[in-house]
Amino acid sequence: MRGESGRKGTRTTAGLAALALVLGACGGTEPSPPQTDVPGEPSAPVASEPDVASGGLPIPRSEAVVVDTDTTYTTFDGANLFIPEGSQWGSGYHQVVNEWSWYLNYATGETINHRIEGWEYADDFETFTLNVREGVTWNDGEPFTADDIVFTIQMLLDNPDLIGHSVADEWVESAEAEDDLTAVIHLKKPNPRFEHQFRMWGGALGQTVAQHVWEGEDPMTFRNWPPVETGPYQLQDVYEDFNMFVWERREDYWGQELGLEAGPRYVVYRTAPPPDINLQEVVQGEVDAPLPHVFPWHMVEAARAVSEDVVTASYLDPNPIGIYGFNIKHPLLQQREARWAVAMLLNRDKLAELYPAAESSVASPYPWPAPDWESMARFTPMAEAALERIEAEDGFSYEYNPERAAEILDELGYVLDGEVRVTPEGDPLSLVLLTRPATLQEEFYVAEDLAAELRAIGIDATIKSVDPGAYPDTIREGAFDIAVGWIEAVPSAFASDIVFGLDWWRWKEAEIAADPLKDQITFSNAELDEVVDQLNTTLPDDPAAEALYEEGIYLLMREMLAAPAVEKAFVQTFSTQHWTGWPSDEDMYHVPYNWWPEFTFVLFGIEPRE
Amino acid sequence: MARVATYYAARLANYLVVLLIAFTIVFFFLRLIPGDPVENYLQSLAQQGFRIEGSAQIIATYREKFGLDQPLLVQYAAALERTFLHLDLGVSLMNYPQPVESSIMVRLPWSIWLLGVSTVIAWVLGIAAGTVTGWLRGTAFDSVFYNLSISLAQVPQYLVGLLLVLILAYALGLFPAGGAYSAGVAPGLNLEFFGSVLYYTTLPALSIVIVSAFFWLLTTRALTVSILGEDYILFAEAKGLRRLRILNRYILRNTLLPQVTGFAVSLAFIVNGFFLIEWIFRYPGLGSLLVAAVGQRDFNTVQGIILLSIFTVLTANLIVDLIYPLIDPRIRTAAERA
Repeated sequence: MRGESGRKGTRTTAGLAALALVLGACGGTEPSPPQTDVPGEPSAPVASEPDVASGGLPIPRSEAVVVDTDTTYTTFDGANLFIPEGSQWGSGYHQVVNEWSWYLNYATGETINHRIEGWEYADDFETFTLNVREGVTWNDGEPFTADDIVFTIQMLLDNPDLIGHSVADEWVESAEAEDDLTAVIHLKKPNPRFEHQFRMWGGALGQTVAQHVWEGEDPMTFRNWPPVETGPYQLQDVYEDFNMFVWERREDYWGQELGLEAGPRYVVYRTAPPPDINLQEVVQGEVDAPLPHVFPWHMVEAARAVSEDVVTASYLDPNPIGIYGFNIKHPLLQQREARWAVAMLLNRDKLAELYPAAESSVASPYPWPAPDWESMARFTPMAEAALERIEAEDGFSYEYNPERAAEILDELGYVLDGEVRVTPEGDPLSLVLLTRPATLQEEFYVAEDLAAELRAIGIDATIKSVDPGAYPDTIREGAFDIAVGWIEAVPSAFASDIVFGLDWWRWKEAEIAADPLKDQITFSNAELDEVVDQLNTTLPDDPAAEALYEEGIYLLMREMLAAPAVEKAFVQTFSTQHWTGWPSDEDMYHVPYNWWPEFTFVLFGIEPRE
Repeated sequence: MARVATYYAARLANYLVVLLIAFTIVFFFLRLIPGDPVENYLQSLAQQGFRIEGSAQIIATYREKFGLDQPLLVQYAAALERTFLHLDLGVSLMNYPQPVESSIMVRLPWSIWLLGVSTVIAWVLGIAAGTVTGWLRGTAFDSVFYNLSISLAQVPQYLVGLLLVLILAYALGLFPAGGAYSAGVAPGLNLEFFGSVLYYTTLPALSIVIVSAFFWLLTTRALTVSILGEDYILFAEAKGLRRLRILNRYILRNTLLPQVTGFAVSLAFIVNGFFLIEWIFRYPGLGSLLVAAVGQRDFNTVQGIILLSIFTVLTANLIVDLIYPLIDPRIRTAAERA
């Protein structure tokens, strides 16, 4: 009857509502139970200050630096850098917890010996000695010693499936700890730059683990969680439901002896909200360091228009954007003259306007970041000299000159037949430009402009956009003619030593076959091989290295294997509502990027706003 | 009776076949996505500045570990057996070796809570308002709501959500801008947590309810208007029945039947999550997990979520098919005649 059915309906609705509440409360969700096994005293969430708009923080806002990332976190319980997905990028672990033995301050050119005092080589460069700094400790209080370094190297040697094994296997014969502060590594072949393995982002060999924690564990599955590291911060808690990691300052941090004291008690890394909300949060001071990838220039301008507490620090990314490479198996592009002709079609001044953020969107010709990288300043005159030599010898200059480009193609036998440029065999000349989609990467616009310039001189140019995931395969398969994207300057840039870049460009056939990440854009040149081989047995500050660097840079640039169009600057934004002392355009005391491991040095430099 | 049993058996068989076909399509479709999950990860590491040498070995090892080195048909057979015979969705490739079920179960309750509650509220409001506006067709009340519905039913929910955040959270400071509950509240079966959950659910739920309710209003209004032209309504009026009784017993009951089907299907879709709403409100639902899994080529997790959604939709449809004869005598009679 209706009355009965009505009462049933009411009960059902109430039950569903209760069920929904119960499900929401407890079903499968274990939102961040306190990590009670953190080394040292356990931390518990501290009552937050009223902060309704952002959903609140579990720790006092005035004691925290809040940092944005664009990563959606999927790994909440791993700090193993040797296996895929063993750690969460952008969680703050790489930035403020994990440390390297030494760093380069790319902004100032300064070498920072951090966990080590320095290093030495035997005369034959086959024995490398690391001198560990006394007093360095893990966050559980145990000392960091040479034994940890040796243990890590041996672990990599013994486990072929770990990231870093191939480097260890290629270079290391054996390693031993002479004493707590001296690690001696015997190399299989000379390497006067082996110290870079222990530099920030130098390689897995430098990711020293705590022997007393890892010994007896299977490195293929061990999580190292909560992370035991030497860095100034340790895990406070993970808030999975909030996509947030909170790190707490170590009060026993060994670096304080060196004057390295972190200002904030807490560092919060979290996934950035949508841009409109992110803007509100920056303006209201709810986030201290938004991520440039999702907080672009027009948002910075909007924030600065509303708030005086928004400051910026613009810095060049190490990867210029331009012609990432040529398919040098193409009949036309295997000729360096043709590659120069294509490079002359890049209108760098016009393309630089795509990046209004950068007062320094300088379209430099060097396949490495310049001129802002003080650490690379040494090589700038060499590159300039190389360009002058190329112009004198070949008549090629790195300037936008479509008329000259057309002339070069004519000289190579690729002439115009009406309005269409044809091959020597009489077939229409067409080129495929490979890029990533316009929705994802700005380099699409470089490709678009280049395609238009190619068409203007009679070449049928088409753009092939592929998903970033398919980009490497497409390169390897040679299914392109000109690849447009980020130019591989990272090896040189981070080492601040050109030899790494020179070595990267060399075509070592066995390497290509063995390593899928080594694409087909590299090339073979006996002269360059000789120069790089000599450099690889010469210390970088050896007077003899100077001439070798110059010759290597000349040979590389002469070949025109990559053509930078613009140098992309990331504008790191900071809010000064809670913290001051951030790097700025006027005082770039460190690279300001919040996703770089060097960010820890920025935290050493800030202090609470009065 | 035998024919009714045959009807039920046919529906069940159809359900199983469709489930199998859906699984097959999803499995092979996902493998068409370019890229390898391990290579994808190593590539992202390289782009972040890490030097990765010897990647071939690493990729080969993990492809073998994840079973990706097998021929596609072998992978398919293994996945089929694992999923249907052992009810195992496999391990997450981006969070190895965590089972996919674990990843899903952490997020699923939040999606069910937010989208389930929002869907129910929107449906109830939409049905009620749609019936009344249809009943009062031609009046000013109908005109206002009808035009409002046409406008708002097409507005993207994430846009409504964004406006709500900017106005109600930031401008007026009445509600939190994001999160599922306050970070300062410990989750548990207590009033403080429930209250916090309700408070934080308000804006995301409102952004869904506002748009969805108007959608249901439109469809219900159309049904109501068509029912009003039926002979039995005219007969009921001629008999002198009270207007409220006609609305409740004759109009509403007939509009409910097709709307129940739609409601069941829409409820089933809540297990997809709603990425854009979750992104705007930083809500820990399945939508963001799905997007992350697609980005990292975690085939198993993507497959698991999609299968869950397909299973739920199909099951909801099956339940509706099975109970329809019980609530609508006309269908039962037709089944018997067939």
